[in-house]
Amino acid sequence: MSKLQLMDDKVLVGLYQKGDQSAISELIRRYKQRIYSSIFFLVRNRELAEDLFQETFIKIINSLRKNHYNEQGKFLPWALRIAHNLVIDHFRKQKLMPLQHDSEEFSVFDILPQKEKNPVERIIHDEKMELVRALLDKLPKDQREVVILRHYGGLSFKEISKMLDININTALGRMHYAILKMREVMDEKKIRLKE
Amino acid sequence: MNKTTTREDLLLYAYNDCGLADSDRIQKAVDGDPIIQSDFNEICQVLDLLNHSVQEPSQECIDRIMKYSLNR
Repeated sequence: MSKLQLMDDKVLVGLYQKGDQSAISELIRRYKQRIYSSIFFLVRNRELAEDLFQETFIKIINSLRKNHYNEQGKFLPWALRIAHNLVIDHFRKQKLMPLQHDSEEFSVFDILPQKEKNPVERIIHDEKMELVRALLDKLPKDQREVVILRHYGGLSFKEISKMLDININTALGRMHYAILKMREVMDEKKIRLKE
Repeated sequence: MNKTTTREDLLLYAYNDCGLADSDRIQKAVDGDPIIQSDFNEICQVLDLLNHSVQEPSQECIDRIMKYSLNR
């Protein structure tokens, strides 16, 4: 483990503001999956998700360089708020809802990069990916948003309630109903992950 | 579900999002009540499935960000 990997976000932000490029590289490495997954499951288009991810980090870089960051060590909620606002702005501009981007002929999962997997592992992986997508599709937008921010973004329910300007019990309630709904679909499809 | 442990409590516990005292109380409830244990297992099964779909951006995308950062 490198020295940078042991540093907390606040220290990395400080180092970057002093010009250390490896600090922003570490912040990207640390949070790329959480931030990117959150964007991806909201927009459901890989190319667009990459654009918004890039735009998110450009805003982060500009803010840090101008010393506009004042989140007292809460880098991830801040970064996810930027990403979330960019997603909202995108759909506002497009005037469409972030649902049903795929068609029967085209699936975003067709163009996802395939990590090194053997054919059997790949089939199992793809099936699970498809299933998760189907589960998330069944959820109302407000529930899906909470699931994505909590599960993929890694925000606490308190942080989600602050970001979405809702009561923490509302956030918990939405997650609770989302779990029930997903569980119901899993039962319908007779999905059992663990014996 | 008993009076002191709700499904919301179980969610907070599943995500390690509650205080130490609450964690201890909820763990005891899960261990001591088969219904609560079943509810908790249901939550864990869904969350486990969601874990299979974590995504990450391409290396090219990250390279573009780093290039931007270097040129600022």
